[in-house]
Amino acid sequence: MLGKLMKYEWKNTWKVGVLVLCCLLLVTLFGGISLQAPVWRSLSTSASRYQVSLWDLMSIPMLLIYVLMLAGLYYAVFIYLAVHFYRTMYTDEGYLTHTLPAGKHQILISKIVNSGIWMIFVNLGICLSTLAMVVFITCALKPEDITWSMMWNNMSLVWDEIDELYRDIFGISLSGYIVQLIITVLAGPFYSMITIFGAISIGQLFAKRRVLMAVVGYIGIRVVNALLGSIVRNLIRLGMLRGDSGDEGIQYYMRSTMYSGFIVAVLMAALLYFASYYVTSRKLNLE
Amino acid sequence: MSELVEIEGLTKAYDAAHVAVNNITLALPKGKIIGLLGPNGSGKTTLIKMINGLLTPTQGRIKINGIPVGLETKAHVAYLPDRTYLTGNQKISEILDYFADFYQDFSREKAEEMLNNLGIEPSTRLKTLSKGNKEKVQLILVMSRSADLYVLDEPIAGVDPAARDYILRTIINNYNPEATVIISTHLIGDIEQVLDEVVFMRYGHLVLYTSVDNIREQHGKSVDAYFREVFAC
Repeated sequence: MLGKLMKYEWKNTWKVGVLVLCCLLLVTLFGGISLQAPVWRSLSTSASRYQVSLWDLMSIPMLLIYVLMLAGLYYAVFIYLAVHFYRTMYTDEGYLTHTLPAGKHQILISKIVNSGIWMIFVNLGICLSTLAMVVFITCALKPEDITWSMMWNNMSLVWDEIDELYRDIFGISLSGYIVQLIITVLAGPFYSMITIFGAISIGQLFAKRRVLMAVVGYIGIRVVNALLGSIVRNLIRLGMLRGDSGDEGIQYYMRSTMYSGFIVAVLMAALLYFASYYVTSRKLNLE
Repeated sequence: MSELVEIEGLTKAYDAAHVAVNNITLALPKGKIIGLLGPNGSGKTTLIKMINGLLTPTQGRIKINGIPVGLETKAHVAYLPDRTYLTGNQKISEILDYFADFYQDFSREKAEEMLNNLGIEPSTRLKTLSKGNKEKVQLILVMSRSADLYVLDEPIAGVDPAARDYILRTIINNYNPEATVIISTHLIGDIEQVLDEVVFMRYGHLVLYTSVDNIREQHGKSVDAYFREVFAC
């Protein structure tokens, strides 16, 4: 049954997901075009005088618009998936969803997994777009006498230097940091979706203004999340100090932030998942 | 055990002042067509939603085939709500796929035959159909199941007399004869001829549960006339 539910979740959302990824491609091209302005190339040349053109003036606002559009696309998908959840669970379409011979866990998991996968795709799309922009700007700034193969050969040296810098400052290797980043990119979307679905479900506990209460609930969850994060972080720091872990300065901050973020995310995700489950199985009141 | 639906002390209160269903106890047998009758706001839809697990009762319990309403009962209950629960963008063929995937008792052939009789192509998108045809499609989906219990909420409300005839014919010709059909309506005259039993509700209370024959024999009236008498303002 879970497989069937996931199949139809995918069928119902893939068109919007693909549309957003196409938009992301167009936005990346837009960002790339903004970096084709002559002013960027002039930065790598030794020309003493440079006449700023209208094209150059447009470049910075275009870059700003690029960043805003990236953020806009991320939130557009997030809101779309939240609305899709609300529509299929708590409006007229919920009459079909909740009369299917499927368990509430199955229904919730299918929606969380499908939404999480789409958010991962969008996150990856944003990462690739940012990478493309790095390539674009490298193309613009790269002196003509430096070839791509030379740059590639120097990459290992740069990597080693950055790695050393990370170890000194943050107490973590660059590869370790990248692994953390990948885990965040992969797990974060699921946590985000569980959070918003939990807020929407909590809104259903109210007799009136359920959407408004869902929004208030979401803000409340974010506040509780921040407070819990702060408490856990300080507890961890205290433990680190007492245990004399050998960490210093910013390393305390990095490690405690990482651990507290993980602990709070797991706790909140479990709590909000069961809040959604409780509402759909014990407190369902479709009007 | 001949009772299909057992309702015991069922109450649904939205708040202290608004009790939609008030302490109803009722046992509905198998193999009957039962009219759930009452004026607007009498609690018919609330009761139906609780039978389908869409509303959580404040008190009391409902069992279908001896099993509390839940995952197991949903596989055996075919429900037609008083609204469109399908997505307008979907093609009818996609909706048929959906029902065939989720309901083991769904007959795609039967559904396609009924659609064909209405001249509705499976490739049509639901949103392009008229309101009446959308309702007919939903009814066809529900009646193409071989369920133990059919719960039809206001199936003939808001449609023209010809469509009402079609809907009633579809119900009578397609339901599983061993199953029970609950039809909620306030248009009693139109469905009276198909009913075996009636449940009268008013202000959330159960007013009467009896057979149609009993009303005719004891009161010498049609159900419609008796309903008008009982619910006279």
